[in-house]
Amino acid sequence: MAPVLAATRRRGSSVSQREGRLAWALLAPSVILVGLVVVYPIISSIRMGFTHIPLDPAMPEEFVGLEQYSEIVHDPEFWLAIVRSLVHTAATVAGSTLLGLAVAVLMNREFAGRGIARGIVLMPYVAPLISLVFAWRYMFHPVYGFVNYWFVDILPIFSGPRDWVESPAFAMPMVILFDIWRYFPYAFLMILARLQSIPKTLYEAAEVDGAGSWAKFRHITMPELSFVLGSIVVLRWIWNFTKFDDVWLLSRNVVTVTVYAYLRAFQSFDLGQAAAISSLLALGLIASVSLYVKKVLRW
Amino acid sequence: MTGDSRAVLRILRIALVLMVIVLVPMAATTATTTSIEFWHCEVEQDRQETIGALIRQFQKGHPGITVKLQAIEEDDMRTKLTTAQAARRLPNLVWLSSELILRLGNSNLLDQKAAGDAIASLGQSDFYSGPLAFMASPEGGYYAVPYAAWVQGIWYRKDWFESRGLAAPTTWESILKAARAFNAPQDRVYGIIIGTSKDTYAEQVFTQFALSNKAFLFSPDGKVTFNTPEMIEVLDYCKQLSAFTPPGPESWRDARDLYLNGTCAMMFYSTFTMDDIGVERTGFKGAIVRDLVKKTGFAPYVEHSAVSSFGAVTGFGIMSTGTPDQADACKKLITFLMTRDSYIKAMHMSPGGFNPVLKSVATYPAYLDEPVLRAWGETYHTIARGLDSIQTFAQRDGQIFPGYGNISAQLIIGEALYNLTEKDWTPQQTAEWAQKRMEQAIK
Amino acid sequence: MVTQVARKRWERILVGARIAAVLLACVFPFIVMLSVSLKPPGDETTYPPSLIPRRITFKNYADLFNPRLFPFMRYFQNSMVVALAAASLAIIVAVPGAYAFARLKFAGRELVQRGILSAYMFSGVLLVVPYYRAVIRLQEALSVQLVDTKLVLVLTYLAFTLPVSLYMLGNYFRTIPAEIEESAMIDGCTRTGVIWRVIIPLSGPALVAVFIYAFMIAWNEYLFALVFLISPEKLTLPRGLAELFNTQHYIWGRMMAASLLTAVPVVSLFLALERFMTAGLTVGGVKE
Repeated sequence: MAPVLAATRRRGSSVSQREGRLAWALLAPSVILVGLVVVYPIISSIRMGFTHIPLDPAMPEEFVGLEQYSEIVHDPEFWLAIVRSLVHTAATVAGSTLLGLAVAVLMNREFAGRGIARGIVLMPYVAPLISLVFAWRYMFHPVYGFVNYWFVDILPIFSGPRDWVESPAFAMPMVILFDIWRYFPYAFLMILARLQSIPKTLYEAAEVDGAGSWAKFRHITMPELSFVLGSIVVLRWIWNFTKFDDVWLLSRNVVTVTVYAYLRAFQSFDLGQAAAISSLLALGLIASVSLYVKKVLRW
Repeated sequence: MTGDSRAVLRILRIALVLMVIVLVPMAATTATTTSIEFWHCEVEQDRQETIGALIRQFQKGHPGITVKLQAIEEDDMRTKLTTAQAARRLPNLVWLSSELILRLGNSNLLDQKAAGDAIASLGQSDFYSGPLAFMASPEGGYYAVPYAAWVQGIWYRKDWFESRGLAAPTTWESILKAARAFNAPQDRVYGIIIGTSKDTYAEQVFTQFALSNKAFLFSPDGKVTFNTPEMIEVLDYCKQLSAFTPPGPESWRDARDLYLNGTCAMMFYSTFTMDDIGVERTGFKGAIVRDLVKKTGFAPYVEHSAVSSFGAVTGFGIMSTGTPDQADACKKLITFLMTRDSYIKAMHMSPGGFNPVLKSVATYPAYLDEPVLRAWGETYHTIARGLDSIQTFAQRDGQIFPGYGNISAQLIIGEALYNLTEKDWTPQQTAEWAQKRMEQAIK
Repeated sequence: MVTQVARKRWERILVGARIAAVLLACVFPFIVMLSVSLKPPGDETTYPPSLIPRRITFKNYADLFNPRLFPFMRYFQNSMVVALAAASLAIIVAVPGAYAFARLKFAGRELVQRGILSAYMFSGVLLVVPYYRAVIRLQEALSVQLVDTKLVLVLTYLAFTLPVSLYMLGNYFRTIPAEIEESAMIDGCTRTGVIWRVIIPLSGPALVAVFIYAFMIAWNEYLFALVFLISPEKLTLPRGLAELFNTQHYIWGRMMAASLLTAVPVVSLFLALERFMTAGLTVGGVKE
């Protein structure tokens, strides 16, 4: 319990050295856990990418170098899947962030039932995925779904009922729509928390200077939010790019790169190739995120 | 060191000690009995109870053996098997579909000798030959012991057919004619439900049509023969039929939903639907269609240039990764589960869906004395008779093609049908595409 | 003056309408779930569909609590234990770590800070296989049962949520004015004391956010619960849901009822703790 000032007179360790040791002690549990659960399997997975892993237990796992990577890179389906992933991720990240921003700004005011309203906004994000997927499939069902009933029979917007979720034309937009709906509450929460800590005095000062609501938004709100928005985009990009269930459960006809990898790993039992795909993806993500962080966010 | 670091380290040390105290009691006990792990796909609670009761009975009679059960949905079975294989933690006994059995057997994961022993001890002649063929290995032995079989066919509204004077849907022409006659999309009523999604159901429906046109998937020397005139005829026919289905690709869920609520005239389905149609399992009175049993006809054969009957068989596979003691224990468990009384109890878990593959049990009065089977009466006997002639793409003239497991796993046929009906590909295009993909799959 | 008031009222109505529209869009699928859950089998697939059930039944809910059909309470208990443990540990483990990021200088800080997010760059679906392998090896090395325990899931979920928790808390801690900590230390507080006496009391919103986030992840997670849990009495709610959804004899009403019941705890948790989350900084705002 020695005061900080007195401690600096101790021989042997400087403040920064002690700080360093303390920091590592505080971080130890986190580092160990994440290392075990995440880092070790990642390394293992990278290694598996270079190995052919046969299902037959009598056959050994053989080191095949870059062969599996080469197979993947030469498969046109892989590149198509990458394009689909990019489209899906870009659309859902942009969509959910913008929607989250709009709703946060909308809800950043006093009104009756504000607490409950915020709870309701969160529901798409916190409910179990399989329930939401089935609810959507039910709503969009070509025969007994509400969407087809309302927009075909009641308001004749479309000529006939269609299978929104599975037809080639609509499957991707539907998956994008679903994922935007599901993930915008995350952006909403983060942005709202930040919005609430922007002091009102800033806005009042701007109003005195004659600023309208759009000017206030552009020159006060947005700069204050830039950090939060930046981090939301990064996290959502990383998370959505690697999402599997959110795509596969809703529609089997949107083959993004994670679905492509899943089909290799679990349908074809080809673990080595799936691991190679996984490593390639991770590389791509690391590269794109580092670029983004350096150039755009300038952290 | 500062007081801070000391405090933190003290806390860490205490935490470590606590962890050890908590974890040590959880240490695994050393085994004094032979322990086997048994994986199956019957996740419904009442079925798990039945299986659990049977296993307990078995363990009482065999005190040296303990059985650890795991119930996994079919959809998740592949994930579980893959992770288990990677960690060298495969179970000892599995009760799986023949496609998965083929795939595992093709990779030398199944103990053929043990399976052969089990079949011999039960008496090979007591087995229906169809199901046995499903579990056969190319070397002439058996990958697994068949256990339960189901038959697929067209379930159709006999009453609608009668009122329009239409013939039963057993030929390509009669099926198409009926589908056209009953299709009324403006009333949300449809002629037929066939599989057009990227799943196993589509493959199963397609297989029955293909085999009725003598369109085989493999040539006798093991090459993929999908891009053939016969197969293209089948694809063309399926495309015609799909005009009389609801919009979008269909799956078994659509078949079940729409037939049970009376808005489609015909559906392809397995005999698993018998308890849905036959006895209002849900316990609700006043269901949408009264007496659906009496109004439903079942056509287990499709006839064109050949008569084809499709079905599936599930069986017990003994994994080759266990010890000889464990293989022995598995054999004992299989024999127990196929002894008349336990067999009947197990099959009654899904009357109509689970059909025994032993002739002596299938004809035994106590087996037939079950509410759902009685409700179907004579229809049920046609099903039982059909068991001998069921076949899939994996068998041809006594030959086995384990590569089929790979093709089935990648859902290529389902995807082909999707492309054909949803992306409006021509049958020729589809056949070419599928041929290439299948060749890649079995490489 | 009158037009001013009228304009304000019109604005308020518009805002109200927009909020209502947003809420409706968020909650509509749940209304559908509720509607289907109250319908007897057969009614849910009729055409034309009706949001308000023609016949109402509670049997779907009753069936969920019938252990012969579905052991809801058992799954609920298992999920609750795992989620509460994961969420509590998330706070206990992340707070010290985040403090280190926020306040302490040490070698490798930049690397760990930037690198912690790379934990998410590998898709969960593909990581599960090597992870399972690693756990099996660990289990054999330590002679300790790990597979089919709640422990392995708790630790797994904890590890999943740590990077985000460290990140969220770290950012939040940085906004707490350093002067408060410095004056506490001058008064004789150690760093750990500062964490306990200064940082934690001022971080209510962030702690609640981390707790809810970790709870939610643990509550809804399926893939790892699938791979690691074996015995029926250990299963969690997501696995129970999968059982209901993927069975051949599925009943829409039961599926939807179970879905709603599974969503209730997390939503309630959020509603209950919501006011702590938006309490805002109690120690001044952003200076200058």
